[in-house]
Amino acid sequence: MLRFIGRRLLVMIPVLLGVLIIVYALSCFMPGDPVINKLGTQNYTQEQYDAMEHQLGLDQPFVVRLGSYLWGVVTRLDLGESYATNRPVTESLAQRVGVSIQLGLMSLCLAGILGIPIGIFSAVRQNTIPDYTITTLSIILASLPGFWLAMEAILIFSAKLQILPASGLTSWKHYIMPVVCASMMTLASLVRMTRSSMLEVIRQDYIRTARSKGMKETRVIFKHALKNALIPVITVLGNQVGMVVGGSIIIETIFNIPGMGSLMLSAINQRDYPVIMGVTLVTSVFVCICNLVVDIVYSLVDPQIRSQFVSGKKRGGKEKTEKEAAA
Amino acid sequence: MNAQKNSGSMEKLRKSSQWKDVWIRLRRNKLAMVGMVIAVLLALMAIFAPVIAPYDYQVQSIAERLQMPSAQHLMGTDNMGRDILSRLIYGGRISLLVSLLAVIVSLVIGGLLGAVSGYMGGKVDAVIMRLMDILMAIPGILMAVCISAALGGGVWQTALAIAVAGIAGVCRLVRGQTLTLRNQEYIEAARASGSGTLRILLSNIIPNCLAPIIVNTTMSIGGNIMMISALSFVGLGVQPPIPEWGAILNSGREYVSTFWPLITFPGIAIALTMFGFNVFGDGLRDALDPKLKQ
Repeated sequence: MLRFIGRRLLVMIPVLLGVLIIVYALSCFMPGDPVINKLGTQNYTQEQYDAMEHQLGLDQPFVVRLGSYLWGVVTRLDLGESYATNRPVTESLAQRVGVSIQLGLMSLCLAGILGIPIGIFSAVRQNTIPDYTITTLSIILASLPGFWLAMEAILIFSAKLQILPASGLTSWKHYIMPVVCASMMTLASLVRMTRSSMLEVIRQDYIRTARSKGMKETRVIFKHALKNALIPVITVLGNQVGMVVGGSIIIETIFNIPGMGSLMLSAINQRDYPVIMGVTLVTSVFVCICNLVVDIVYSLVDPQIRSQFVSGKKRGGKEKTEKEAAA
Repeated sequence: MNAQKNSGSMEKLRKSSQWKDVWIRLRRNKLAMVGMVIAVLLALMAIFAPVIAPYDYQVQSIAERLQMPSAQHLMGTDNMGRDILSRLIYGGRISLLVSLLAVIVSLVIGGLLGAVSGYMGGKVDAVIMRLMDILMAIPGILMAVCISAALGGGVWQTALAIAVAGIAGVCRLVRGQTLTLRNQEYIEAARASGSGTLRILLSNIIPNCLAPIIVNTTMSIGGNIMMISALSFVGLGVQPPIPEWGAILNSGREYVSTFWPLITFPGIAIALTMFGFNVFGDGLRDALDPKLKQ
């Protein structure tokens, strides 16, 4: 198990280096001149410009800049200095990253805690009125963008009813709307995935065997069916991590939450490259770690899968291709 | 469908009956038909926008700004006094166009990379898959934000930004399909009869990946529309005065607590589109899945 986690951690390193290189290269295409931004005025002499360019290191060729940036990140966790505030990027990230990750994790947990049981319930009661209601609601919810839900929520709960605060993050009430809005879409897809995967498992022979030997229905569902039904659900949850985190970054800006989202957007407006790169890197690290956790949970749910990881193949992907191969 | 060496008429017959089957199964699914109708209506609305729209989408009139819905302006007017309904109709044009462009670009690039990766295997596969791992590590919306910030706003730039964010997904899908196909007998037969790699990829592998690709594409059109509006919503993506649903929604942010039509109607437009394409895609998947075939 430890070897497996170690392996997966090693694989993360080249991926994150690649992320850094892509984002760094992209930032060089960004319009606007950080040197002029930094000087803050249109009245500058060529000497001033050159001096500032040299100070920012922008007079070096691309590869040299990329190399020194990478070296700084790897050896000192140094993400450079913000062009706008002159403070280290890590410092402003450190202030905000907690809030964003907290919101992201809360949204994911809410989606999981509500979505999986609702999906099981819906599958067990297949073709009843509660099932139809849940299925219809989840199809509709899956089509509502989180940022729009957020605005409607402000409109209804803050402006009209005045029961929830519209901006900031100072009391528990402030968390309700952002977390709920960021999790709704994932919640809906978890419900649908759990339901269909559960239905598929319930049809299997071993479930019939368990029932026919007189086992209690709850035990059949939770002991035998759930374990196998959860595997594709975990895949979906893993795929959704990025979506939830990205989505909550946009939702943060609507609720004026001091997280990475607002940092990122103000950085884009100010052409503050180091901050943009920092935010993207931190988010990618978070997504990678979540995927690692998903893989570990996989192996806990089904020991068969653990052995497959040794050959470096994921069961989720393989199973899918086999399923489609039947097509 | 793969019996290439059969006589022409036989092949045609089998092909047509397969798609007919799919259509029959699809037609039985009411929800999917609702989705299809929504998608078709949206496409018609986008094509005939100048005919349908009651007003010009850019005529401003400060005297009429922020009017509530009425008989003259069915959805009211925005902060510049422009008719919201007309802007939504034209906005649908932009949203659908950008979304389609993005889908096509990611389909071509991702599909080719995936097919090559799956078919060639070995080092080529390893390199392409590691690249895709990197692309997958950056959340799609952040990737689109970064690219969009680098390229600047605009219809084409936005389409490209969304397309790049979608490449990895398509690539993985096609690669998975190709892996299962490449050892089938008819591929071997094609290779034995002297077909080159490119020919096998284009005429044997890719056509047999069509079913999951069609489903994926349908779903992506809806998903992309949400991404585009998210980009425009944060001020990147399509720039005003071009009407785009997310941009219209963004212009309503200032009035979030005072003027609901500017928030509610564009949101409904986005949601309805996503609903239509999601449901249609779901229906297609069920119709194309032979496991449900009795």
